[in-house]
Amino acid sequence: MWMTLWKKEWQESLPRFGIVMGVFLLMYAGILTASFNTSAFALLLGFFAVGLHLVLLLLLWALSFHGEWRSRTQWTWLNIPAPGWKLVTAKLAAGFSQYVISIALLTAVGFLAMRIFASGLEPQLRESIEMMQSVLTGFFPLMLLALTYGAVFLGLGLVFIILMARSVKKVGWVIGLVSALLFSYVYSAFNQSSLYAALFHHGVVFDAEQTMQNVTSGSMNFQLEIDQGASIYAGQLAVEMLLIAGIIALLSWMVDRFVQPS
Amino acid sequence: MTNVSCSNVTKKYGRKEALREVDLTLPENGIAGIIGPNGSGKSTFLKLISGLIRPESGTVTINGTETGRKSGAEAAYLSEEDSLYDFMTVGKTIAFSSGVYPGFDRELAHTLVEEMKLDENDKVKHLSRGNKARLKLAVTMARKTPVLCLDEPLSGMDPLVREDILRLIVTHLDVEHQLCLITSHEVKELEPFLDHVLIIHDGRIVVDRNVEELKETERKSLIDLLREVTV
Repeated sequence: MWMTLWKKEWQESLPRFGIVMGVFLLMYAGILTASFNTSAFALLLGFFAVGLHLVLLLLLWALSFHGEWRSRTQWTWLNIPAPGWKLVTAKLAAGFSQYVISIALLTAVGFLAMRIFASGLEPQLRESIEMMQSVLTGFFPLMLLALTYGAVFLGLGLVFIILMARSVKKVGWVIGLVSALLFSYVYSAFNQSSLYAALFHHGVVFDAEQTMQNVTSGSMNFQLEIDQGASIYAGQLAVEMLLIAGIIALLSWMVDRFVQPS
Repeated sequence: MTNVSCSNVTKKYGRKEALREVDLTLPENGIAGIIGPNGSGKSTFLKLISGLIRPESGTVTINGTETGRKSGAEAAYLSEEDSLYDFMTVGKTIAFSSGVYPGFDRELAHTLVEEMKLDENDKVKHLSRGNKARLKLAVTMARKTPVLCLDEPLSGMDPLVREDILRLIVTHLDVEHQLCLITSHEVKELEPFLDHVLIIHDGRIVVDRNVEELKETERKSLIDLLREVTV
């Protein structure tokens, strides 16, 4: 049943994903053209594309959940005798698959643009760009994880607000928004606390300091300081994954118990 | 046989009571018409039975189990609205339904669609309103659930579509094992097919009778009875 639901979500979202990809492809064409011309505009567009990916899941998931009500198919969707987690995860997985495709393309274009950009520069400048490229390559897992983490939490937050609006008439969205903001404030305070570090900063998966030393070794004019928190720990990954699972369980419970079609 | 009962059920939308202290047990099978004026609570009644909405107080049970969001395996709900996925074709709608509804009779769905001369390659968004209604009903009937909740299936349809819809229900409903609840304003058209009638007025069930029995004792048409009890 889950695959049928996923397939439905995938097919339904394809036209809007096509539009999103169209916009990104135009942007990537701009990035590559600017890189050929060694214009800093490439960097600006690159940052913009990364920024858009932060809100991509939010957009895809929100349109998918809200879309059931907008197209009046909520009667069909909610009458499917599947547990809420299947309905919810099919939507989340379809959106996430599209996010992964888009991120893969962004990564490919990003590295290609950097190579093109570097090849058009004077040898001295080229060295700096190549060094930056090495740093970006070394830190790619960290950046990808941070971007995806942000995108997932923003997306889940909006889905929570949408489902809350469908559960409690009139004020549901306000309750949802306030609860989401409050939770993110409390959790981010906890995230930066020494208690969090003591509990979950175990088992280094990605050592930022070591990575920086590896990629900049031998370079006299390229030194960067690394914040300790930039490393990734297995304990941290586990707890964040558990938190995501907990939020998905909450959304599924809301669908089963509180969300109303009208 | 299916046992559907409501025990002291009240449903409110904001401060307005859509249904008030409904206490009844529905017939085990056959076709039951739910009639009443606009806003009397007919649709709310069907949504409660199919578990799509929850009562403020009281319980709705199907075979002893309280209805809820996952009651779709026991009660299929057909919405008055165009609740089909527009991007699918007729054939894909059947394939999707077969994948998500346990016990879905795919063969029956294909037969019904063929009977109603729908092209399986046509996209739902390109179907006429009447054909969408036909497809919706074909899919609902093929779910083979013990209870069918058909919310205004005849509303806004031309006479040919209405005839098709009623014929489809009468021909393909398993009257020995299924209970079909239909809300409609087309009382005259519906009356000959009904085994049972519920009249709802101001959120209360004011008539809950077997149609044959009613005809014998009252010697009135349902329209006359509706007029009488809703004055």
